[in-house]
Amino acid sequence: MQADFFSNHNIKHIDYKDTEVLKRFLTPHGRLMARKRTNLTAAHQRALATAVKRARYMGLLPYLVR
Amino acid sequence: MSNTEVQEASDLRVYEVGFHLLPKIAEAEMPAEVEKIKAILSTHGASVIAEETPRMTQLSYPMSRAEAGKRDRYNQAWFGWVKFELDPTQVKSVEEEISRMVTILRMIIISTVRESTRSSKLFVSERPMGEAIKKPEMHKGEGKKLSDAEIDTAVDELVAGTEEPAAAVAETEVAA
Repeated sequence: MQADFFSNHNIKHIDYKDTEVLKRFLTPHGRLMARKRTNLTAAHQRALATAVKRARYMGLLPYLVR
Repeated sequence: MSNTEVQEASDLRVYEVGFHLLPKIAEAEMPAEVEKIKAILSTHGASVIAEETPRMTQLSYPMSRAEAGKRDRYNQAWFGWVKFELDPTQVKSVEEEISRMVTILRMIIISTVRESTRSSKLFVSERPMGEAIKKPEMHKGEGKKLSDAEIDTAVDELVAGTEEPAAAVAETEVAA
């Protein structure tokens, strides 16, 4: 089975400050993509969701893009 | 090393405080503000592991902060972070104390690891934020291009192969 993005790039901890990495998994409206589209493991998808929420709270990512 | 020392060392956990300082602070005053945060950390017995000096960051949405009975909105701020090791029982008081600072617009304390977790310099999204995902282009087959004369002979061959009257063939040609 194909490993996911974070496993492929050997990223052990998903950092909320890495907005360029997080943006890969957001839709043009700023919403988090479904696991079906991100192809992440369940654990990585959960860690990604936490990181995106932290980045949004800190104003590094938008809550929504109109 | 005694058992108590081992116990104390294992009790410490690594945390990171990310903060936005008000944009009205001058760049020259920035180190002093970071020192204030580090002073709060050290009074609670924290040891700094890593830090990044604040940089002016454009905020994704305006943030407001009440000051002297007036609500100010900010579109940019100085964003920096400090990673430190601290006793978990002290985190709450550190958080309260830092968030009470008048120069802090917003802050977050997260539990993290000692190693660096940054990786954005390696990977940059090829699609800028807000840009629509393009529809995949239809595959255009690269067939052999025929000249008019070749098409004519091919049509003539087809017509010769059929048993239809010449008038009917002429009609279909007109329709085509």
